[in-house]
Amino acid sequence: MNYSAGGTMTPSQGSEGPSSRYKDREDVALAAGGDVRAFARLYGAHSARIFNLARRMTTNESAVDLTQDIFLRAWEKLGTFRGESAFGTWLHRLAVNVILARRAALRTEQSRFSDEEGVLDGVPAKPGRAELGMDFEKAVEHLPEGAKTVFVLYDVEGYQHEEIATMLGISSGTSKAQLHRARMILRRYLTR
Amino acid sequence: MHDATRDPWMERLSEYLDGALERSDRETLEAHLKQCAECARTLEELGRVRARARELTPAPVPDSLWPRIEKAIAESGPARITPLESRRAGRSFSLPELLAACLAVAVVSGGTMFAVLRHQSPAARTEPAATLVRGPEPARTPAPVEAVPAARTEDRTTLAPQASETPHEEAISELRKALSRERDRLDPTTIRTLEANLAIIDLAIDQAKRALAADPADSYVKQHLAETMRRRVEFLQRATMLASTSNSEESR
Repeated sequence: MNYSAGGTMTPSQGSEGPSSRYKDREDVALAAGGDVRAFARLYGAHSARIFNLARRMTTNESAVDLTQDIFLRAWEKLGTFRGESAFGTWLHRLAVNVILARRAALRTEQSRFSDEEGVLDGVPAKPGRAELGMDFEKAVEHLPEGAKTVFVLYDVEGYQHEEIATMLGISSGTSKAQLHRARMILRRYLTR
Repeated sequence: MHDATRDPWMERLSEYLDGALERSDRETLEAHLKQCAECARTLEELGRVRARARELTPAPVPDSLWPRIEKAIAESGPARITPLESRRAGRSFSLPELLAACLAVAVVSGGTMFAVLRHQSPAARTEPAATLVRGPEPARTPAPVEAVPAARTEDRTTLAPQASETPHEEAISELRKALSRERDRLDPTTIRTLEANLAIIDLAIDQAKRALAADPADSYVKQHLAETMRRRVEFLQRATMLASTSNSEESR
C-alpha cells in the first residue's frame, strides 16, 4: 500500500505489500467463516487508518463509534468481499460509505458544519511549527462540510476527483472546486 | 482575501498544482504567474497546505475499541448459513457448526492426504482415495464425501509448487465436480459465501504464482503457494461436506 510521508495510505494505488495482502486474504477467508481471531488481525492491521479517516471526516467524539460501526459492518459483509481489490481498499471504501451515511443523518444536528468560511475564525493560530500540525488538524475539522470531505478524501487519503465524485454523487468539477475552497481557507489560516 | 472576478486564474491554481490543467491553460497560467505576484504567492501557500495534509500524523486508536467490537460480534452471534433441506425441516446450522461437523473428516482426509503426499511410498500412493478418509466419524456425521482423488497423487512427495501444482489442480477439479453435484442442496447464501471464499483463495493462488514467476527463488512465496493450495483443497472438502450434511439430514 502506498503511504504518504505522514503514514497515511492512499487507497487508490493499492496499499499493502505482497505478504500483507496474502495475509489479509487468508484472514478474510477465515473471518468470513466465523473466525474472530482472524478478524482481530484484520482489525489490528487496518484500524488506525479507518479510525483516523473517521476522525478527520467527522469529529474526535464521533470517530470511536463510527470505527466500531465500520468494523461491525465489515464483519457482516466479509462474504461479499470478492478479492478484486486489496482488502484495505475494500474496507476503506466501506468506511467512507458508512461515514457519509452517518454524517448525512447527523447533519441537521451538527451546527459546527457551517458553510461559512468564517468558521475558522475561532481556531487559535499558533506561530510555532511544532504546534502547527495540531492546529492544522483543528482547522481541517472546522472546514465547511463539503470542502472538508473533499479535502480529506483527496489531499489526505489520496482519492482522485472522479472517485470522490462517484462516492458523493457530485460532479468532478464540484469536487475540484470544493478542494480549492478548502485549500484557500486553510491557506488563510496558516498564513495569518 | 482574493477576488476571483478580478483574477480568474486564482480559481485554477489548485488544478495547476495537481497537474490537472490542459497544456494550453497550463502554459498561459505559467506566463501569468511570472507577472502576478499575488497568484504566485497563493500558489506557494496552496502547495504548503497540500504538503501539510500529507504530513498529518495518525492519532492512536483507543485500546477500548476492539473489546467493544468483539463484544458486539459475540452478541450478534455467528453468521447463520442454513442448508436448504435443513431449513425446510425447520432446523438450521451455523457455519461454525457445519464446519465443525465436517472438520474432523476434512482434517483426517486432508491431513492424511498431505501425510501421504510427503511421506508415502510410491506404491502406496496409488491406494484408492476412499481408504484415505476413514476415521472416527464426528457427531452429526455427514454422508461420506467423495474423497480427494488420492489415486492421482503420484509425485506428490513435496509441497513445492512445481511438484504439487498439477495433482492439486486435479484434486480441486474433482472436488468442484462433487460440490457442483451437491450444489442444489445448499441455499443461495451459503453458495455465495462458498464462492466468495473460493474466489479469494483462487486469487491468492494466482497472485502467488505470478510472484513466483517473477522470483522463482522466493521461499516465502513458495511456501505460501503450497499452503494456499492446501487450503483450497481443504476448503472444497469442507464445502462438499457441508452439502453432504444437508443430504444426510434430509435422509433421516
